[in-house]
Amino acid sequence: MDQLPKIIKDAKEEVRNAEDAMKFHENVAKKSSKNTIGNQEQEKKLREEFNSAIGRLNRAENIFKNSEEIISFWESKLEFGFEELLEDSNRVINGGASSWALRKKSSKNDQGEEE
Amino acid sequence: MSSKNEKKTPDKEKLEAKLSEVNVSISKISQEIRKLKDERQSLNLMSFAMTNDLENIQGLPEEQKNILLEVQNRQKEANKVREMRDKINSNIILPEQAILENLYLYYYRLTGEEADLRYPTLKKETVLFARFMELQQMFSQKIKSTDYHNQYQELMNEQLSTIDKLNEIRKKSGNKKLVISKGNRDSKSPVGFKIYKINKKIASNSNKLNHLRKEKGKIESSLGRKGSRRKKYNMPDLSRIQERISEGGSLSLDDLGALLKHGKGIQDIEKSIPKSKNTEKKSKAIQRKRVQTSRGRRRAGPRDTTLKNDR
Repeated sequence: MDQLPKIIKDAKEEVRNAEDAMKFHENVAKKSSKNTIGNQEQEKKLREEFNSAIGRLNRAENIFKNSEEIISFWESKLEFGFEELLEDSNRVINGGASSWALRKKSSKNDQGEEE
Repeated sequence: MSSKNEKKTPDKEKLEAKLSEVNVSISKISQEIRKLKDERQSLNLMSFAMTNDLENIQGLPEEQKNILLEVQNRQKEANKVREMRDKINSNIILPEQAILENLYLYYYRLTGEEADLRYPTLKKETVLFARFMELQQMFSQKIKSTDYHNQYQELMNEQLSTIDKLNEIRKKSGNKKLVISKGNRDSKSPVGFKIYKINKKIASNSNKLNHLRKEKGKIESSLGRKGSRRKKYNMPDLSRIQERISEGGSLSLDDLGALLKHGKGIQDIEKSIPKSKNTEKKSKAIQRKRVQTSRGRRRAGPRDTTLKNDR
């Protein structure tokens, strides 16, 4: 959690740099009025870098935004118990079918109905 | 060229996927056959204990009667253990190894560092958590099933040794030997009918298995893999090796190995084969040969014809 602000800051800087690089390249290409294959490839590469930087920034911001919700969810589980999440596990302890077996069974049934 | 490679890779992927599917089916069917065979064996033993050609169980000597009762009781116990094993196996379809692999995978997804911050969402995280907890219980259940299987195997071994013991007693007293399975093929009796049905199932499963193995072989050959089948071991021709030795011929390491493994020692062979005059002559002729370094030009020309012309 403590690392997230720094990660977001770095990601923002990365986005800015990628954007600058892309704009700079566009300007240079316009001035020279050369639309060579090399230029196109360079542009494509820079755009990909920009997109991945944006993606990373979005993910970091989402984690930061949802972190409170996630932490409170797990804290409530610790306080009130994990019963909801242990449904399948309890079924297996009591000698019931695992969810893998149930899924297989239901898929078989679906196939049978289709036939 | 690149387009050709692009075309080849999806085909290969498809074949790989098909191969893994076939492998899964093969292991499933093999497991089913093993289960059916166990069931048949226990049925045979059960019927042996109850309805063997014993004229009258009451009329049997006390010792034999006790052994038969022991067999019967043990078989009941074994059946219970087998049922428990099969029940767990039908509830938990993943094999032990797959459970372990999944446990590792889920643990890593829940606790490990992810590249590019690709962490699971809360919804996904709860699913992973629930499955991880379930997998832990599945693993402990699977260990139980392995224990039951081992117990069952032990009980079956005990059964067989007890029946051997019983047969020895009967042999000493001049009675005929008791047969475990062949006498119970009568499909009119309930146990015999069950065995008959199981045999049918085993046969159909074996056919399926053979078909799948053929398919596996085809896929493997189209993937350019060699089959994992071992080469059939050919029994070496010992008489030819013996002849060669007696004629004074050379003996390769394979020949020596074959003799040591399957035949007599070299000394025995030399003793057992009387040397004829001809063989003596041959051996002498061989002794006369001398190996010398050749001098002068080579008689045979080099294989490369261009060099031959240069000479």
